[in-house]
Amino acid sequence: MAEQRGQDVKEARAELAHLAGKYLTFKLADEEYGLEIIKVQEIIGLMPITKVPRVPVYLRGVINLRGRIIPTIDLRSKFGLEPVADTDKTCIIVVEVMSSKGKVNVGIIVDQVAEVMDVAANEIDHAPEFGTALRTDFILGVGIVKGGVKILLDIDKVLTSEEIAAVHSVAATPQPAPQPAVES
Amino acid sequence: MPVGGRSGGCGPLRANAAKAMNADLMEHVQQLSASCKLARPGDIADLAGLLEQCDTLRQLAEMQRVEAVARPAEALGEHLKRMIMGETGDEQAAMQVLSDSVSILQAALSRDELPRPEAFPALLQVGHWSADGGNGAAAVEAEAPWNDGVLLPSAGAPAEEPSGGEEGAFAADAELLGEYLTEQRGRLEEIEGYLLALERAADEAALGDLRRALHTIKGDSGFLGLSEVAQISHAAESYLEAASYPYEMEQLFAVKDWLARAIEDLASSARLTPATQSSLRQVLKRLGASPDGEPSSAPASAPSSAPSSAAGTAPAPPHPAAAPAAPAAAQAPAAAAAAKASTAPAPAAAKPPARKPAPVARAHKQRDAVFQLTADESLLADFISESKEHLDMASAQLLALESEPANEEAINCVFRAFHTVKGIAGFLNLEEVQELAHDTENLLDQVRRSELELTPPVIDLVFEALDLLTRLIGNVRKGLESDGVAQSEPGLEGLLERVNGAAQGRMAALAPKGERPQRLGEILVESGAVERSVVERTVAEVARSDPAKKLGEALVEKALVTPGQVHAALRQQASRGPSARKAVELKETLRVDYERLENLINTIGELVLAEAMISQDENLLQVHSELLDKKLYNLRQVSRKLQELGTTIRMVPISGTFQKMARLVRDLSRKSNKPIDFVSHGDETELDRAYVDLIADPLVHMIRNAVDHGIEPPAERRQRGKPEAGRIELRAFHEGGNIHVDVRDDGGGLDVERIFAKAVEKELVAPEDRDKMSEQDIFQIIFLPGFSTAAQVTEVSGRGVGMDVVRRNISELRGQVQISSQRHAGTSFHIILPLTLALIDGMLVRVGEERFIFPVLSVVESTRPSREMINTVVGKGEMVNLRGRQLPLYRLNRLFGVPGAKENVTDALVVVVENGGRQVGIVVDELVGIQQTVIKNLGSGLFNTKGLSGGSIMADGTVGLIVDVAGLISIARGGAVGVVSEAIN
Repeated sequence: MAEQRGQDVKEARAELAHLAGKYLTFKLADEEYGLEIIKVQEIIGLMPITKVPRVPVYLRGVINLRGRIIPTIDLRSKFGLEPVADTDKTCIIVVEVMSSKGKVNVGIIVDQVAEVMDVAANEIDHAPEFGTALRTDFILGVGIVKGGVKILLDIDKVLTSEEIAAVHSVAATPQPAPQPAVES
Repeated sequence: MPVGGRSGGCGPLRANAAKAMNADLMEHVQQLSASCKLARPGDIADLAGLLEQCDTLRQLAEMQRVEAVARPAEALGEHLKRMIMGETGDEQAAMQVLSDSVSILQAALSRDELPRPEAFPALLQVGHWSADGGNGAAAVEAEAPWNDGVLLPSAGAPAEEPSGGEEGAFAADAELLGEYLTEQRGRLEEIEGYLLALERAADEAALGDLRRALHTIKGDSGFLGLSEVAQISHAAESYLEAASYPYEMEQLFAVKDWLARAIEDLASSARLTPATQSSLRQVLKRLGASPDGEPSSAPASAPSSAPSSAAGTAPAPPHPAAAPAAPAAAQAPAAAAAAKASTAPAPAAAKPPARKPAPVARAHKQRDAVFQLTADESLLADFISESKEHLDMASAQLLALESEPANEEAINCVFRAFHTVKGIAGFLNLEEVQELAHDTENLLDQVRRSELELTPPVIDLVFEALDLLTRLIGNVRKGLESDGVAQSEPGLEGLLERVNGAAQGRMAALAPKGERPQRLGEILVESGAVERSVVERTVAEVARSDPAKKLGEALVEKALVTPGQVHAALRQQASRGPSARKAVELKETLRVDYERLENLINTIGELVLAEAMISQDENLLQVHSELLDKKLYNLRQVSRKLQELGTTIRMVPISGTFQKMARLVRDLSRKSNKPIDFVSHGDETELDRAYVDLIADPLVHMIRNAVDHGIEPPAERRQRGKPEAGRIELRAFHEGGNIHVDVRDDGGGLDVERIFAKAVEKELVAPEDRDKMSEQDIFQIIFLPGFSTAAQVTEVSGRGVGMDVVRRNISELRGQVQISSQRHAGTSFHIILPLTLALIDGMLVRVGEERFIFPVLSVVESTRPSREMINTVVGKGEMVNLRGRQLPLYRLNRLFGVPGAKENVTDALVVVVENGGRQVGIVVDELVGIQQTVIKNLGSGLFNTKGLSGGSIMADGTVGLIVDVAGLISIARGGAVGVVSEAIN
C-alpha cells in the first residue's frame, strides 16, 4: 500500500519534471508567483497607459513599446485582488503568449519583480485541488523553494481565459464582480 | 561513366564549407539563367551582358577553386564570344546550347553537386577539369566524341531529370518550388491578359507573349519534374502553333484555369490533388480535339533553324550522317578549347565571321519541298483515314503514358500505331511519312525494351512526331485533292535528327524553336541601306572593341547609314520580334519576403515617430541654435522621404485585379448570353498590396450585379436604342490621397421605386418614410444584408448577399462606396479607399481626458451646434438639425464611457461622420488637430475592440486610439444595454 503510494508520488513527480527550469518570480498582494522565463520578453517600468473603452476592467489599456502597441493587463484585477495604487516598484512584465491569432505580446502589471530562480524538479508539486469553486487550471504547479511557496503560472491560460477573475473573486475574496470599463 | 547524352551525372561537393560558396555561385548562375532567358540571340548588347556575367561567374568560381564551375563558365564565355562574332551560325541553336548549359549548372548546384564536364552540350567545348581525382575526365576521354572538335548537332544533356518521385508528388526542394510558384502566379496573370487580348482581336504581340509564357512555364515545370504542368502548357503551345486565329478561347481559358488550380494545389500541398489530375486529361482532350481534329505541335522553324552545323563522327545516326561541309572554322576553336589554352580569350576574332551557316548536306539526298504521290488514289485515301485512326489512338495512349510511364500496354499500342503507319506508308511510297514513322518506332522500341526511359522529354518528342505525321498526312490529302503533289513539312529534318538523337541516348530534347527577331543588320541589308559585307565587318569590329555598343550606333558613327535608316530598321525589328518589345518593359525587380518588408515599413514608422519626438522635445526647443534647427530639418526631410518610400514600397498596380475582372465579365457574358464590352482605365494605378485581395471580392459582386441585373438583354437594348453589346467600365485613379475605383455599366440603372417597394415589403422601411428619403438613401438600401430586388435567384446573383459583402469589405478597408444611377442609362459604383492600409489621415479629438482619432475619410464636417439645432426626441435620443437634415446625435463619452467630458452640447463639437451613406453626429469636446498617422494593430485577439480600428503612436509617445465609425454607429444603435453587455464580453 505504502509502496503503491510511493509509486504514485514518483509518477506525479515525473509528470512535473518538465516544469523544472528558470522562473521569473514576482509579488502580487501577499503571494509570490513564477513565470517561465522563456515566456518573458522584458521587464519595463510603468509608463503612460492609454485606456481602451469597452474592454474588461482588468485590461488597463495599451502601451507603446518602441512603436508596438501592447495590451496591458492588471494582474491584480485579473485575479480579483483588491486594487492598490501604483508604486515605484510596480512594473510591467512583457510576455509572449499564444492567442487565437497567433503570438501576441502582452504586458502584465505586477506589484514587484523579485528574482530569476532555478526551480528543480523535486521542488515542484501539483497545484492543490480546490474543487469546482476555484479554478486552478492556469497554474502549472507549485514550487516550494527556499521555504517559500511560488505559484507557477501558465500565463497563456491566465491571459486567454476570461472567467478567472470572476470565479476567483467569488471563491476567494468577497468582492463585487468587475464592472465594465466605465472609469470611476 | 558511360557518356551517352543522358549524363548530367554529378559529383557530390565534398566539404560543408562548399555549401556556402555554392550558394554564392548559385546566385550568379541563377542570374545568368535569368539573363539567358531574356537575351535576344541576335542582340550583341545582350550577348555582351551575358559574357560579362559569365566572366564574373568564372572569376568567382576560380577564386573559390571550383573548377567544375569555372571551366563551364569559361567555355560559356568562349561560346558567347563566338556568338557575338556570328561564328556559331544558327543563333537559336547556339542560344539553346547556352541556356541548356546554364540549366545544367543550375540543376547541379541546386542539388549541391558539381556538374561533370560530359554533362554539357558538346558544342560548348567545355575543357577538362579533374572532378573527383580526374577519373571521371579520363573515362570521358576514352569514349566521348565531344572533345574531338566535332560539332554534334546541338546535342545537349537534358535539363529535365526524370522525376523519380511518385505520381504528382513534387521531388525538387521546397525553396525552388516556392520560387517557381511565385513566378507562375505572376505569369498566369499575364497569360490571362494575353488571352483576353487575343479574344478581342488577332493580336500578334499578345500571341507571341502568350506562347512565350506557356513555353517558359513548360520549361520551368519540366525542370522541376512537374510533368503534368509541363504537359498541358506544351499542349497549349502546340495548339497555338497548329491552329490559327480565331482560337478556341474556351479551351485556352480552361488551360489557364487548370494551371492556376495546379499552382494552388502545389502551393498548398506540394502535389496535385486527384481532382486536378483527373481534370488534366479533359483539358488536354479538349485542346487536342479542337479545330478539325488536328491536334498538333511541331517545329514551325524554317529548315535553316534545324541544327545547322553538320554532324561529323557522331555515332552513326542513320540520317544526318557524315557531313563533309562542316565549317573548317568551327574546328579551330574546338581544338583550342580542347587543348585548353588557359583562360585567354579565344582566338576567335582572327577568324572570318561566318554568319550564315554552311549549307547543310543532307544525309541521303537533298530533300525536296514536295513529293509526288505515285500510288493509287483510292489506296492513298484509305491510308489517310486509316492512319488518322492509328495516330489518334497513339495520341490518346501517349497521354495515358504521361501519367503512368510504365504502362506497357500503352507503349505497345503507340508502337504498333507507328509501325502500321510506317508499313503502309512504305507500301505507298510515302517516303517522308515512312521515315518519320520508322525512326519514331525505333525510339519507341527502345522504350519497349526498357532501354530508354519514357521521360517527359521523350514523350514530348513522340508527340511532336505524331503531330508532324498528322500534318504530313494532311498534306497528302491536300495533294490528293489537287494536283497530286504533296508538300513536305519544314520541321521534318530537325525532328528526325532529334528523334534519332534521342534513340541513341542523346536526349537533347530540344523544344521546337520560336522565330527570332530579325537582326538589325539583316534589315538594313534588305532595305538596301548598306552592303552585307559592311555590316559583317562592323559587327566584328564592334564585338572586338566595345561589345556594349549597338550595331546601329557603330554604323551611324562611321557614316555608313543615316540615323533615320537605323530608326526605321529598329522599328521594323521591334514590330517583327515580339521579344524585343518585351525586354524593354522588364523592370529590375527583387522578390522580398513580405514579412521582411512589413518589418522595414514598421521600422520606418518608428523612425518617423522618433524624429517627431526629438524635434518636439521640450529641452531641445529651448536651445535656440540655428545649426541645430538645420540638422533637425535635415533629419525631418530624410525621415519624411523614408516614410514616403515606405508607403510606396508596398504599392502594386491594380492591373492584375482588373484583369481578373475582365475574365469574369467575359465568362458571365457567355453565361448570360449578353454580349458585353469590358473597358478598363487606369490599370497602372497603384494600390497597397494588402488591398489587392480585399478589393477583388467587392468588385466581383458589383460586376456580377451589373451583368445580371444591370445590363439588359440585347433585344431590350436594341429597343431602347442602345448598342446591343453592353458595356462595363472599370476605372481606377488617385485623387486627394485616396484611391478611387469606379465600376460603371450602361444597363438599366437602379429602379428607385422598385427598391423602395421591396424594402417596404421586407419591412426594412416604412411606406411613409418615402418622402424623407433621398435617392441616395434608397440606393443605400441595396447594401443591406438579404436585400435583393431580383425576381429570380440566378446562378450568378439575386440572393442579396453580394452588396452586403461589398459594403462590409469596403468599410473594412476604411473606404466608402457611393452609388449613382440613372434609369435606363446605367449605374455607377464609386469606391474611395485610403491610399494604404497602414497610413490614414486622422482627425484628433479630445473627450474628457482621452483622445481619439477619426479617419478623415469618414468625417463629413464638424460644427459647434447652437441650442436650437438640438432636438430631443423622447425615447429616441438626441437629434441635430443640420441645414434642414435631422441627424441622430451620439455622445462619444457615453459610448466609450469616458469621464469628465463636456455635458453641454453647445460647448462641445459635433463631428458629422458618414458610413454606408448614413450620417450621424458624434459629440466630442474639441478638435485637437489633423495628422497623418500610422495605423497599428491593437494587439487584439485577446479582447473585443468594437468601435476601434486600431491604434497609433502619438507625438508624445502614448498610444492614440483610432475610431471605427461603422462599429461606433453600431454600438450607438445597440443602445445602453448593448454597451454593458458588450463591455463584459
